[in-house]
Amino acid sequence: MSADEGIAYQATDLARNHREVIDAARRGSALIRDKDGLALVMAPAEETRRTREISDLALDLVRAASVMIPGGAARTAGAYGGMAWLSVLPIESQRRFFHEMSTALMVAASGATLRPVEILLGDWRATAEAWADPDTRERLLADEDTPMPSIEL
Amino acid sequence: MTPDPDTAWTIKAASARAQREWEEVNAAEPELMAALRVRLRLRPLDRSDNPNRTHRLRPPLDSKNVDGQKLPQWQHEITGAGRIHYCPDKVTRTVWVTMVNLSHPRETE
Repeated sequence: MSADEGIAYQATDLARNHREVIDAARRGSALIRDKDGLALVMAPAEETRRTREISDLALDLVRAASVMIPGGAARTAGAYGGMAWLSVLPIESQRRFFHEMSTALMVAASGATLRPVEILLGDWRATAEAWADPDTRERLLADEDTPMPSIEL
Repeated sequence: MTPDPDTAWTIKAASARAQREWEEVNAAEPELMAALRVRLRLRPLDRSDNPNRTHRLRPPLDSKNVDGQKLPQWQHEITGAGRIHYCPDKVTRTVWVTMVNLSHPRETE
């Protein structure tokens, strides 16, 4: 009885058979056809939010990718759209981010949790933040040849 | 929560500068650093409680040589602007602190 199964409820079902419509929505989605024929979908808010987040991130990623490809748009921060923070990283790292994020988004789009995507995004943003500051970058890239093994903090 | 000495990680400074920074921040924010110390001793690789504050850095900052050993590089957000960077060594269960500060000079948008 979900939208995927091709059954459309009528607007009047919201009053007459509201439990049935809501149960169908809770199982995935319920297609409701209004009096003028307009099709509406009732679905769990969390799933709708998840789908929107995946599509927004995919769109941001496509926009950023258009800058990364050889012969693409000029690599200004603005050209990266919602992923402007990515512009500070070396191009090799940007391309690696693209591959990792593409894979993570495809897994999430198949129904898995969004948590790995959020973690990956956070890791890369933290890396870009550290890389953007010359002092921090220099410290984090440097070898530590004289550690203090005898002192416990 | 008191870390179990048999399973707790040991926290050490990867340089004299990192040690000095730890002590300075510890003097300025003792409660904050006490909580951080417990966290690093118990679960330096765990980010299940707040994945937005603990990160494993990605290339080109994903690893660092500490005393000849290539180790992964992590970051924990102590405060909104404060950061600690560290390299956990799973073999010796040592957390090598490489950098501590309370005011990150620049944040990306």
